[in-house]
Amino acid sequence: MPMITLDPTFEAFTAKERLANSRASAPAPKGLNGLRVGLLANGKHNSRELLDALFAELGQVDGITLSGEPIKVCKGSVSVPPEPEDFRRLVAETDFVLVAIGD
Amino acid sequence: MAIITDALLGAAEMMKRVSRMPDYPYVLTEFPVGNLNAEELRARAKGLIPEVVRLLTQNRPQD
Amino acid sequence: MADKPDTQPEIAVDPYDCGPEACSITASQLTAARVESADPFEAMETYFERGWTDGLPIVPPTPARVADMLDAANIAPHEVLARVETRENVEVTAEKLAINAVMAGAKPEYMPVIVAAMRALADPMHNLHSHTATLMGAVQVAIINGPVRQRLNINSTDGAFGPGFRANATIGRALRLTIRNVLRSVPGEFDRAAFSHPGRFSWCFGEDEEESPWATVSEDQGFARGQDTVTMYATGWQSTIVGDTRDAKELVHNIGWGARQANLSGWRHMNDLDKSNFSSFRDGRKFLFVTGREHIRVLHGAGMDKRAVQEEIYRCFTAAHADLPEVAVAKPENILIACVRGTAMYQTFFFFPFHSSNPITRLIG
Repeated sequence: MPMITLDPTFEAFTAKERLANSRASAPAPKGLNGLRVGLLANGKHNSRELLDALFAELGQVDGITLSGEPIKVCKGSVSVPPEPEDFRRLVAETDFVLVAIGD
Repeated sequence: MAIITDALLGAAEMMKRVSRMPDYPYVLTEFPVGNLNAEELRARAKGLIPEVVRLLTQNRPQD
Repeated sequence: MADKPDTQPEIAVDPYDCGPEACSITASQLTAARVESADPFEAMETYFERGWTDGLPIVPPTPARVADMLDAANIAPHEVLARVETRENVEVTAEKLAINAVMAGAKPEYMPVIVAAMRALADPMHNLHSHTATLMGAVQVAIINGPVRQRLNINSTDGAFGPGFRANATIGRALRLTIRNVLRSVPGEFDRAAFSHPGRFSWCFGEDEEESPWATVSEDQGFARGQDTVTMYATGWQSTIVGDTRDAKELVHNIGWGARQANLSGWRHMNDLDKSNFSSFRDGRKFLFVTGREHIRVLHGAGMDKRAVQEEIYRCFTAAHADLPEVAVAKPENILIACVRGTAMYQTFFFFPFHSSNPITRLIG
């Protein structure tokens, strides 16, 4: 008679249904004029500076115009999600969000 | 769109998998970022922008 | 009396079979996937191959053993003890914790401690995700207070940080195996430790309440003496202060400045956190000292109570200094001091806190 033992892992992460049921990426912005940009920094050194530099460079790209100032959010700690209100603003008031690190 | 350093690639790939977003696009940059000076950071941003634009506009689902 | 049959009837193996051991009600409620092996050694090899161990052998988690573990803590298998939002809401159920506890070699009577520790780890202010993913390779240290230490033989005396004590070794290991197997803090997955740390196999010890004239860590955390508690503390790195002076003022100065030196970091990210109130964890960030009885005798003998020691270390942490930046400690009470016996060694350990985590204490049982 075989010995029966139990799986010690979180099985939902490897379940066939989960792997088969993938989520699509967000669609591309409808146009590249007047783009509203969010900048979400994880708070590590240079994360905000990298995002500011990316925003400045993005404004220089032919065929892209940016709408005013970006919405800037810096998280309360590297390892926590943004505050719900910040998250809501980023979703509601931008066309896309750049997220950066400072590792 | 996330900017990830190559040193943390494994964790980013794991997050894609468990988030059920195997096609989630992100921009990969060379480690390190945290100790670059302002000029190096500007150069880094300039170098990343073509990839940011490409991932923003290409291979995305129709709305 | 019926005649004894000539042959034993064939026992069918179904997916919920408990193996050669009897099924309890709890065992019948277990829903984890079953693994079949010919014998315990084959089971162990299978767990190695699947990446389910910390590199050391495990005890095969049969349904009967897992059920015994759950019954000892009087907890239902499906109860969710931890959920980590930043890992796509991965959940630690009591069943999965018990499976990992069996694998770690824990006795069923340890399970209430392991459950309480898991609940402490799950507290949002402990921020489990951070210190089990970080490049820093932080360690999760379990400190046990109360009579449970004697009941379970949790060592708080000599050698309490080291091997040779089953409860210490397997309680800490049960937590770490759960962090690995359930939360996926596996190198190449969510664990990105650059060097990692041997304390990640297991780090659990009791506080030597009998040797210390001071309030315990548990009391500092708001519990009463005599209550069984576990405190989970996440540490980025550790150092030690050794010195056999019998001058209490000199000793506390050495401890405080030694730890301040150990706090020194040239990491810009850390310095950003230290200079500002930016981190949401700063107010509750605590700096743990584990002091041997020889040091405590010198300090206590000179009339210093714990509060006086905390204040003196706080002064060492925050005094102006040309080369050493101030330590990001919010208040003297955030100096946490535990006693481990450490006979005949004039020694204090300093545990640098993992910066985005606060220690959490929970009642056992």
